[in-house]
Amino acid sequence: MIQFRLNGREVSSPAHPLARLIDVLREELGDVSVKEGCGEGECGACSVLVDGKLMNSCLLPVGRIEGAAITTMAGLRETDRGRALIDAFAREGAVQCGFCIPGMVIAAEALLADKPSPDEQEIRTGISGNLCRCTGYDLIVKAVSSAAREGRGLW
Amino acid sequence: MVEAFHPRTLAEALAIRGGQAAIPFAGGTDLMVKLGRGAGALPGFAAPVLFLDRCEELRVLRHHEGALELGSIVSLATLAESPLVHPVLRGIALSMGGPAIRNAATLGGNICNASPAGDTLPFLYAFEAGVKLVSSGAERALPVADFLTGPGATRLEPGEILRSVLVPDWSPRLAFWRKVGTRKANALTKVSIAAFADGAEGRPCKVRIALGAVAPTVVRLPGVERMLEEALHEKGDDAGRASLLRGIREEALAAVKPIDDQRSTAEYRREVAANLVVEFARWALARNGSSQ
Amino acid sequence: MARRKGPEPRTEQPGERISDPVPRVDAVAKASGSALYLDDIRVEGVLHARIVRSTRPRAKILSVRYPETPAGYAFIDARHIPPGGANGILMIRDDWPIFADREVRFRGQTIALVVGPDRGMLASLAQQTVVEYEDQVPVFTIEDSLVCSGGPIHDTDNLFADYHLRKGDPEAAFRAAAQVVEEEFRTGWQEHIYMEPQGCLASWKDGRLTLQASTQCPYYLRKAVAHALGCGKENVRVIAAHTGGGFGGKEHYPDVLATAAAVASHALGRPVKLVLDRQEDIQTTAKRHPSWIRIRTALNAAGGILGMDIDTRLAAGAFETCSCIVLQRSIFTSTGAYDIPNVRVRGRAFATNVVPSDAFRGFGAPQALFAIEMHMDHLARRAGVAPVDFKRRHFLSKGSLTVTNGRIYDEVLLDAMLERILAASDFRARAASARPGHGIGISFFNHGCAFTGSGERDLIKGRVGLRALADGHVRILSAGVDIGQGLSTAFRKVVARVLGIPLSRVLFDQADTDLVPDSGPTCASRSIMIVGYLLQEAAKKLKGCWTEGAEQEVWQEYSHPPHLVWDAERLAGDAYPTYGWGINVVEVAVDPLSFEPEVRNVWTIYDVGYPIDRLILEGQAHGGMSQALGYACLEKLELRDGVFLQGTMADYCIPTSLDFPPIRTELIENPYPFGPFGAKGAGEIVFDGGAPAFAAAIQQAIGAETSALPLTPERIRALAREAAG
Repeated sequence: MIQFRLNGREVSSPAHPLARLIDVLREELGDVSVKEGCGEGECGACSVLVDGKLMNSCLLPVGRIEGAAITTMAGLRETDRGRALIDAFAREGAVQCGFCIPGMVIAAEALLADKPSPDEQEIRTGISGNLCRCTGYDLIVKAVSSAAREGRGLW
Repeated sequence: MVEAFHPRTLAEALAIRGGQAAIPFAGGTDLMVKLGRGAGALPGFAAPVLFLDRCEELRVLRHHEGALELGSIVSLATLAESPLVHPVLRGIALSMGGPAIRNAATLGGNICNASPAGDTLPFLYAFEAGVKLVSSGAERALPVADFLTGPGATRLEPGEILRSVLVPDWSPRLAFWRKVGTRKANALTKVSIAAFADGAEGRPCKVRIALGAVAPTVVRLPGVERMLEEALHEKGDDAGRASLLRGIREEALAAVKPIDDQRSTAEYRREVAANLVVEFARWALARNGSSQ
Repeated sequence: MARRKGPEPRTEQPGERISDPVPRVDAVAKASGSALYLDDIRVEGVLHARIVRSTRPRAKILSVRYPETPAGYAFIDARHIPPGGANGILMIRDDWPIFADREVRFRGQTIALVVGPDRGMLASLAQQTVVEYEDQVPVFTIEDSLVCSGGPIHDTDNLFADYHLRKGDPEAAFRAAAQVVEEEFRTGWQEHIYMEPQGCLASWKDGRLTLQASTQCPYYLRKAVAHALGCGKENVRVIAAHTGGGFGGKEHYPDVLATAAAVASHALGRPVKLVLDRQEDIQTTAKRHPSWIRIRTALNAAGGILGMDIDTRLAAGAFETCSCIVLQRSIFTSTGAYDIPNVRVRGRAFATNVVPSDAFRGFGAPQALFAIEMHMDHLARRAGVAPVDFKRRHFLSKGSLTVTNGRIYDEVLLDAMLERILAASDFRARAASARPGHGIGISFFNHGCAFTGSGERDLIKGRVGLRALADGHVRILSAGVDIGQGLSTAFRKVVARVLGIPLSRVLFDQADTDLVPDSGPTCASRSIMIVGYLLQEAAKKLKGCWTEGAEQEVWQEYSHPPHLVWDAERLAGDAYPTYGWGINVVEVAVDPLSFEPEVRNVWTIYDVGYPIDRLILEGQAHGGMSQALGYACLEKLELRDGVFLQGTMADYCIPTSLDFPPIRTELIENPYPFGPFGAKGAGEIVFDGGAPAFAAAIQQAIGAETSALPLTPERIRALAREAAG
């Protein structure tokens, strides 16, 4: 059994250690806030935080993250930081089809945790591993910037 | 279905590597793509898997005996942030993948994947870096240029793990690198260059130039290096300089063996590689004799 | 777990415009990761499915040998089509078999489904299937298709369509010509790369098939599945899941997956889920049509345009899909924003042994616009006139005759738009001062809104309903799908505004064909203009008979503007009821060492009538331009032996956040009487003009003419080398 923490809660998976973390999260643990866009680590839709670090869950065997603390959008949305980001994304018109957005928000959280007041270039670099086909990125960048400003003290 | 091992020490890891012919797994960002079998399916590893991330001995980052020793599982993200690492290698690490990839991917993985387009490789070749290989019984070191033998091919023996990379201490006065990728981020490399020049007019000069993604392995340009060393040592004139640059272009064009593939063409790679080499030379000559 | 609601939607105050932005109604659910897309849906007893695909581009199937299947697994193929059903995917025609059984016409074509609980086992079983083929000579290019290499794939001449248009007297124009300029233009495939791969979930139970799908057109799915099973449309229920992007790729292509999954579910009596992985999606789903367009222009002695002769050739792929309609739009857009007298147009869609091409944002217009924009740019240079000045002399205007001999009935504001974008971009100064390696380009374009000709009246016959509930909520009944274009917010805004109620009192659920009427497909830039207008009219009706606390229903049927004239046989008259208009300016620098283009600035201005939500429009303009610039210089699909070389997300490069600069957008109002609050279609015009503006900028930067897309660094290098001599 592989033990780890998911959104603050201890979990235990009987999955094979080489099973992809994204499959364990989505199929076994019912966390579909993590999306699969490509399975090759290119699109970032499957982004999660592993001990606070941004990683692509489609490239992580579950055995590799044994003992780690995993954060997905399902957990982040229950926090003040998550709510601030979600509100900013909604307010700034950054959500179109929405499929890339959970991954974007996770990436934004990782960025703001490291750099609480990023400039435009830093935001664009912070989300450079998250692909979006709908928005052309401009309003997503604006949303992250807006969350950083509005959420003073959160990061 | 194959097993997966997650040892806490290098000694354990080596025992498993030797005993089970297990596949070393550092960041997994290449392996999981190569062997992935789609959603809901286990990746297709044909041999047991050895997760290395818990072996702290493989995470060293220290100065030692005239070289910077970088543990093979040091992530690209760590490499990009460490003040001990040469700024060019830091920049190269930042140009690879995206933030999530950089948190998982490792220097050792990039080397052992042995892609002709491996981004860290031109720097390592130009700095004449070495690799330390370790097995249960022994340890050996060899130059990176000897370790990599072809696309996807290394001299890693059964039972061996890449322990660390040794980058000789060197602070060249001039440093030049460039990655020409398929797009501005999260991109695979079409042509890359890492080039360095040290010394000055009237003093011994050292030039190292390495090109990536234009041959089965990284290309050093010894002919160009000698030409440029001499030109930096002597004081040349404009006519001499123009003829030198033409000669350097010819050498560079002849030294590369690029191919057509899904990312680019041989013709493009050849010309751009030559452009980058000539640009480095032109720039180095222009900066020669300056107080820098 | 309390559901987070997000910022409260504002109640609109009188005087505020409907176009003032509101947070999208679905933004919080999507951002939170709680909105369910197709693969997120969990159903008891579901079986997964994997497609067994042809490995040959063109061959007869001699035999198919399946491996032994463990208990719980089954192969489904043409033999499982129910009696009364059909082995054909009914789009416009049903020429594309659900399961290939006698022949295959493209690599990747579906031969069978393997169905079962474990996806790893499915991949294994699919791989072990052995198909014996008798190879035939494959056709990969329009050139080979023209001469029916290896015998015709389709009909006797490989043509899905051969259309002719004639305006004025082109023959006379060419007889009178002092000079004829002839050019050819080529564009390649483009893949949609909606971030959510295609997928559906089919469940046959108690004589009915319920299908959940990532789709733009639930009623198209209903039609195709009913045809496949022979069970009657009333026995098919289609529910749209949240759809993670479409761009036209989920207009017809979902029919391919749904029919196969439906047959499997019917045969096994279990729910069947079929989801593509990304690499499959890139290789085997429909693409934008590659084009090869030749334009010949007759000029008088002063260099003025007397007439044009345009030959449009599209590569349609192995089956018809909607290639005939794409071709129609392409030829109807062949003279773009210009009033050209005396035009002859021929359009042909060629069968090839490649995955069928189908709808993709722009739908044939981008290809035509690239050709006409570059051609007019080149004519301008030959005449020694700045392209912007040459082009503006030919602008269409209200009352102009179109290339199909229809009329432009509404004001055309291109001159005013041009003044604004010239000022905003400081275009002339930038153009004049551009150093070698730098350039700025401009494009002008239009997009016919909604279905061609009388399609809305004769084919779609859209219908919507509004149901007022006793508690004061009003439910919208329409099959429109929010694929990211903000339809679910915009529809609600229209109804709320007309009724004078808060947005929160308007309900609109994801389309369920059991519950909502067929308001038509979500495509063709028609949803706001056509369906939104129906909702506006229905809301007015409802307002007129509103009874507090009562449950009421009103319905609205489509009514065709009476002034429009269209002959579908001769393709003559008013091809579109109205047009969107746009101007794009793109500024570039080309790296002298690597020939990589850097887009430095982008300006856009659009006339989409009136924006129902300014922020939604802004987002559409950004996304459309990003996708257009990808089409122009990053996205490349090369074919080898019928397989795309760029078959992964690593190799098929769409723009990242670092590739292009912020995109400036501006809108000009030009209300259209038959659109809600004056709104016209907007979803595609925001894509149409990016590539020619980019190409024109590259031309200036490298001092060479361009005539093909994509303009990769490799191609830029080759053009620059050629120009240098």
